[in-house]
Amino acid sequence: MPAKKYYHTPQFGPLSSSKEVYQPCADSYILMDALEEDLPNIRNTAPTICLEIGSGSGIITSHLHWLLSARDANQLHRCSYLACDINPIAAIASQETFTLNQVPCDMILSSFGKSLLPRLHNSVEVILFNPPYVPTCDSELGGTGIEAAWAGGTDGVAVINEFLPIAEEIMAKNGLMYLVLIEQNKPATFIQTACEKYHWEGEIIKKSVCGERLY
Amino acid sequence: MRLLTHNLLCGPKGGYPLRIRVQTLEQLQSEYDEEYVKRLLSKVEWKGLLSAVSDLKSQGYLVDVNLPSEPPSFDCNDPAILRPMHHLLNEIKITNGELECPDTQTIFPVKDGIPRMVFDGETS
Repeated sequence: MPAKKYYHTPQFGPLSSSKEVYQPCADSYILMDALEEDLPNIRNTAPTICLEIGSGSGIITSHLHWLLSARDANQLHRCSYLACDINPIAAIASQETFTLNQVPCDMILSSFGKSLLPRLHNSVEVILFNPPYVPTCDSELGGTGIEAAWAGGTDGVAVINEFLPIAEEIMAKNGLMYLVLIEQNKPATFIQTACEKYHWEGEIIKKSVCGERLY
Repeated sequence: MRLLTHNLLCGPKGGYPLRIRVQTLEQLQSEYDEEYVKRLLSKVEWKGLLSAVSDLKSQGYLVDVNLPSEPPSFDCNDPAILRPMHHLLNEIKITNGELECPDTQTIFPVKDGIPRMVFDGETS
């Protein structure tokens, strides 16, 4: 049984506990863990813009900001953070979290951050996405409420696959993208296919066994 | 939505820059960091910033701001030039207003600091 880990969690505003907003749980924490483990690589990229897709409660971007700025004043790296969500309640919840925790992040109500193209063509150094990864019928796709946080279509990768070409366009040449996947998404195959298609390099940083197998 | 973010936003067919109509504006306080401002300037589209400043000035804001027609050179280290850049990009926030796409004339609201960039066919 792994040792219990305590997370530095941001302060949340009232909307973060709304049932319309994705509540942080194991998948959020594994992404936070992965960012912490990969922090040397993130620092090497010296990011100026970090973009989160589907920020929900705002916990992931807040954590990255904490890792890069607030945790260690000697290692402060300033960055501009952008977050997108298609769920208008989540957008407000994220914004509350950023304001409460002084995270210099602007929130945009947008599908996949499309409104940032073509301006941010090859310009974003870090992309964060805890995607909807649950295998569902395709008929469950396309919503903008809480279901958008988990409904992932066939094999749970429909939404992620829709985002990949946008990621390709928006990511800087030596940029980094962090995604959460579950076993049903067939992560190893997914990574191989995406990397072949887009000429990326990819690896699994962190695995966790719990109710879901998370990568 | 800080002016930095406005500088990065496009309309549904890439229309840029978006015209700004301000209802409410807030001034933020953010620590000046020369190295960070220079990195930000490398991402800034100057004509977008000129357009934003012009829109705001025509509505009575940024009275003392005079933006040169050309961006600072990449090796500029002069705080007299970089500090105002920091102020514009990081400390001017449109909390409520509208953004208009110059190509499609679509209006995108800014509500409580969040620009609602929902394109046709996407519901919200």
